[in-house]
Amino acid sequence: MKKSFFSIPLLLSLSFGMNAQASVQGAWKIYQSGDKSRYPQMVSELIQDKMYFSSIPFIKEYLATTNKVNDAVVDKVLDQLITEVGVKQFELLPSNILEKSSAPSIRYILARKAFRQAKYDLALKYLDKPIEEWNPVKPYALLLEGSIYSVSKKEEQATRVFKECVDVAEDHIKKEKNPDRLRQLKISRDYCVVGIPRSQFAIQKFSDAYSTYLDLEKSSYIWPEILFEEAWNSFYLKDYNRTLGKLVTYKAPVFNYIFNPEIEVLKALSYMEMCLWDDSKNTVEAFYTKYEKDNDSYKKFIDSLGKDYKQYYGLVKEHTEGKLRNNPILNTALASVSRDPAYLELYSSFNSGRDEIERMKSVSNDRMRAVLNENLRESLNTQRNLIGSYVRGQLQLYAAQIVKAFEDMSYIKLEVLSKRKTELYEDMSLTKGSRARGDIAHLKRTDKQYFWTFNGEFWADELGDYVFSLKSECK
Amino acid sequence: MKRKLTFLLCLGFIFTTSVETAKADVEQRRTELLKVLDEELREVTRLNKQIGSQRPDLMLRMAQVLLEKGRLLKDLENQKYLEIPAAERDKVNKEDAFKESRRYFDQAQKNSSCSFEKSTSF
Repeated sequence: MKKSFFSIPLLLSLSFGMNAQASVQGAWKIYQSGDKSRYPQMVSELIQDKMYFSSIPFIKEYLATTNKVNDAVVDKVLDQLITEVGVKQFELLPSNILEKSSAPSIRYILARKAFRQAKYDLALKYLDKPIEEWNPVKPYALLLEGSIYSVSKKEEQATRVFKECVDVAEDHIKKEKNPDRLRQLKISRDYCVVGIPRSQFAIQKFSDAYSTYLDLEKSSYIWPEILFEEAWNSFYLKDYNRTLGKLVTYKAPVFNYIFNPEIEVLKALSYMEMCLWDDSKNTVEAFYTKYEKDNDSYKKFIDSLGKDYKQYYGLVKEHTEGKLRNNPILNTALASVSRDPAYLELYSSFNSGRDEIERMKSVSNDRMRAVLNENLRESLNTQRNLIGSYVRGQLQLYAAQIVKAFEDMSYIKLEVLSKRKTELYEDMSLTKGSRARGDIAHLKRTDKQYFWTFNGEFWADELGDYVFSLKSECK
Repeated sequence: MKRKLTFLLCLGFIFTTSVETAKADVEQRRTELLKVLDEELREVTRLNKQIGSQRPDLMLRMAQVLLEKGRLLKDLENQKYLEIPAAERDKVNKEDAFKESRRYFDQAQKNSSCSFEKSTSF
């Protein structure tokens, strides 16, 4: 009895191994024939063996050499492969090569490329052909479609698509078992949730946006970054105390990885709108103190790395392993990148690619193994460079954000000084009365909002709900 | 007559006090304004450096601030000049008395002409 109990998994693994060998052997036969038109079939065999990354060069070669793909089986192979390795590997291909296929994943990639070039009509054209709801790319395609409508200020269509996206993503979440893909699906669903207030904000429906932003749960992975958008929305609603309250949430230690110099800009701007000149000026000065010294060395450091993507990849990796740099800006930037959903997606694909190295050892055909190994090395190098390139882009973006924030801060300070001058020229009293700072009387709240005093500690359930009670000093 | 004299005396006192208060207020405002203008100058210079190019609108703003500061300094210099007894005033070198404000006016002129020269379309 004991013997048969152990023999079941043994038999299963043997049969899997045999199947695997059969798949690799089948792939080898096709490879040997040199017929590139049969490469999709070969990739299909390799996919059965979970050799995703080592298949990429084959399918890329097939797409580059074929005239037109008119085969549902090839489309299925492409969809399967892209689901496993991510879209970035294929985004590198020129559009004219990708256009040969009408696989949903490929159309999604083409639409993404068009969206990035602000060719919104073209992007919608790529997504025009329906994609089945069960297709893994469907929630992402809906998110993209909704975003296109949103930036085109077509709120009605955007809301309809985003709602559909939430429903479809929920269905996919229920069925998904892979933790990485589950996280991506949840992030995608949450972006669809905030897509609705974003499109309302775009057409200046700030009150509507205020309510719909609340649909995003605080437990969401993207909530911390969305809180900043909520703060802007409150600013446009002229509820500056609420804006300041939302921004103060970023002081909670749990958010110390957030890199966004614009938080300080919005803070200074809110004080300025309330004619609290000293607070506004102090915020500007605090910003200069925080960033001025380290910004130069931060910029010099990232410029010194040039386009060495391997080093950029290593930077974030080392940071996640606990290595801290001398520059606080760089440390926060790296912490921010390491939690970025796009980075996590690229990195988890890279890790699955590395798992293939182990699987490769089971390939008994030496020559096939050599070919697959070469392919795998090529794909993993590309993936690592994609990660490095993404990190570089983010770090450069942060540097640009700091420069922009410095400029904004200068303009705010000049505006504050100009207002102060007007006060001095006009017949206004110079003696400042005692400033009774916060007073509950200045608090604006609805029936659904409760009042609690802040005792210096950030509690998870309170985050994002803080409101200042400052009185405007505008005359 | 006595009452009339007392009334005139009180009026004179009130007038002197209010003139003194107004003078002090003007002084205080001027000092504060000069501080704000210095800060503004520093900020425009910082912004100009930050952007990395001498933008005509910023150059013009700098010229405005310099002009404003020059005017305030001239008021101050003028006040000091008028406080000198008439007999001694003739001996004072006017160039020296208004040296500081002149420096700011010249700099303002230089800045504004520079901004127009550099950007003809501005």
